[in-house]
Amino acid sequence: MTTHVTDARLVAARRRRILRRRFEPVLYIAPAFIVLAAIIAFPVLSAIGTSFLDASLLRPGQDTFTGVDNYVELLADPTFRSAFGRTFVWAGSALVVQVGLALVIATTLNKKLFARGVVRTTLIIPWVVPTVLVALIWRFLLDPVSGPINDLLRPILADPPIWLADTRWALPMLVLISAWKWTPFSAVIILAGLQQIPRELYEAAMMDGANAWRRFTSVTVPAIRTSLALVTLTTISGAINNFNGIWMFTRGGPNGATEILTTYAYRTAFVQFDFGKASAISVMIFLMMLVLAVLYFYAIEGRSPKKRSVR
Amino acid sequence: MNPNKSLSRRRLLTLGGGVAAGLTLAACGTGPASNGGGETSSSGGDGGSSGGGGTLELWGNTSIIGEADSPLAQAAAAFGEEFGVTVNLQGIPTQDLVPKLTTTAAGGSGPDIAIVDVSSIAQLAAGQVLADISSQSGEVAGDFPTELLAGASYDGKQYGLPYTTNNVALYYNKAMLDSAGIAVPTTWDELRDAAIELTGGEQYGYMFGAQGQGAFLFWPWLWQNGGQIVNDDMTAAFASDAGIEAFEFYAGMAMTDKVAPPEFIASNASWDQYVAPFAQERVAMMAIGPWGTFPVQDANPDLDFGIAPLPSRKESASVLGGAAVGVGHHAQNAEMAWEFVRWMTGSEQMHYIQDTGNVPGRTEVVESDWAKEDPLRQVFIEQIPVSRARPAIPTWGDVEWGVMANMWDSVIQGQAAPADALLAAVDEANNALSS
Repeated sequence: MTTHVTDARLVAARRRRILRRRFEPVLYIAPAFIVLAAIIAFPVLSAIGTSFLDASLLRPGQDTFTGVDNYVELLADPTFRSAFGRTFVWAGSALVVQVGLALVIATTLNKKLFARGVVRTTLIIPWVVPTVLVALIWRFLLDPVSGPINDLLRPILADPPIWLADTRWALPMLVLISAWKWTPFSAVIILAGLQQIPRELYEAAMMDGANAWRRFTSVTVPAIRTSLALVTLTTISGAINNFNGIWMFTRGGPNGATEILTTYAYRTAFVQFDFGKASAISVMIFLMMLVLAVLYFYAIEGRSPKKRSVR
Repeated sequence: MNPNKSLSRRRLLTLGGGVAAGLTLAACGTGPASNGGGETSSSGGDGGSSGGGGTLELWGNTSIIGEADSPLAQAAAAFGEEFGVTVNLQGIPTQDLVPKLTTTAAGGSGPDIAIVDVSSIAQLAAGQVLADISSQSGEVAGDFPTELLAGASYDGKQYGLPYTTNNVALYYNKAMLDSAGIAVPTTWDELRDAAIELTGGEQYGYMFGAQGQGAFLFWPWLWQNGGQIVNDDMTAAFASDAGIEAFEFYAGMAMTDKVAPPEFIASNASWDQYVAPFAQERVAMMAIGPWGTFPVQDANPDLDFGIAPLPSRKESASVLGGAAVGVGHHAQNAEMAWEFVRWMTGSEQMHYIQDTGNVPGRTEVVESDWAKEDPLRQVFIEQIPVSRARPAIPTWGDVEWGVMANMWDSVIQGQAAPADALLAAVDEANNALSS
């Protein structure tokens, strides 16, 4: 009888210990999690709430509930539709240019190179330059009259383009400028991935008669898949949210040629002061990011362990 | 659990990806609520004035607030001395001032005093940023020109007193006009002929701006041709026959006569961009307000230029600008704030404003010796009677820097004919005007 009681106590005590051990980390994480959740959740929920209102700061205290009117209005708004499409063009070109260049740079830096440390440090510099400075630097370089780029072009072209004020050139130039700033970050992540690949894998592949391209597609790419996925996600989400990279150069102009959803949301909120419509645009952006994040976790977290074990 | 796996770089990066995704979500969620651009504060007024009677917060754009020893800071210190309060000055970049005032007011707070551009008075009045001071302003109303008082009012109520006043005039390069034997143009046709004559090689006759600059500088042309921006019922009136004729003339100089340097289409945000070709002696003439003088002199101290009234057609007209000073709707110390507004715009304090090179918005300035001592300044003062205020409607900013700016951009980008673009802008403008 007594032994039985002791046994039960021991079992209960052990269970408590296990429980405590399992919940202890949760307690450690909880404060940060709660603070972060509140900081993230409040503005998101507030924006979602506002998006169902007719809310203008020019008519304070007169907000009225209008249901999905803001969304209906947006979907019929040609400016919104073109900004929506342009956001994908902007993010897609950022992805191709930045990740493409980053791959080239990372592969080059992964080789034995003269003064490799210096080169690597130099390459990362654009990434740490604040966007305001990037804007100053590039506005100077691209200045139609006194800029060095057009000075170089003038002997070849009679009328070099007015880069940032030309509807054909503004968006491509902004893609290149933001690639100038963000590629180093992608390159460093990919480089980190490359350095984890054991040399033996390449040696084995060479023994099997794989050429350079084959080694790249069958050894390098699978090995840095996680890095590539991370770089892809950060590039796309970074581009969608890259408001400064556009606003500080063209403010969405000329004639809307560089208007993406974030600049349109800003304009709606702080030029028109239509916070209901601006919130609706932000919620749309939020949903896009949510889809992206879910896709990312599905592709990386959900699937990769199985694939890894098969391989 | 394999410790290697938990520590692997791949694992770390995956976690990093999660964090990155979370951050982007957070950034996107807070996007519309955050205010683009930081604030630069210059606290000038708290130097010599450590009064015990509380504090006053004054907000204005960075050029009005100036450095720590600016004339306004000196005025604030003098006021603090006299009334036993501390006046804190906060300078905010021009394009952030109205958004910041509006969002702060929406949150139930804001400065005691604000110095703002007169074109934003209606918006700030409707947005409950500025307080109705009609009951107090009556006693001093006689000191200011009616047009300037009207420029600081909305819906029949007074929301500020004229602080500075300005308008747009014609800047011309004396050497270029002299060497071509051209007199300063006084009519549209003379201006156009002179601009064409002065264009050749790397030199151009006349400057235009892009986006909102181009829209803003068009209003004098519209009025000079007998047109109106809005009807009495606040619907768009700018696309009348007179309006279309004026706009075709204006756009024609830029697009057909090509008298402007090609880079004018890039002059979309700062007036420094607009005055650069004139300062670099690439352009012979431009229209701008007195705020153009300093950047030109700063960039090219040797440039010999003159300022003349805008050329006219059916009538003379210029566009009224300037700043008004008002009491904040959420002022902590509204009585003292009004005291400051009245004191600052008073006769004895005019020299503080004059020291900045601006023209105080008081009637007595027009006839003063100070007005006559500088021929450049005198032109702007002489133009005050023909200067017209833009419509006092809350959504004006969106009409001028949204609808009309895009309309002008579609013309200078060669995407629309001037008349078509102007007519197409009517519906959009009416939407903005009525919203």
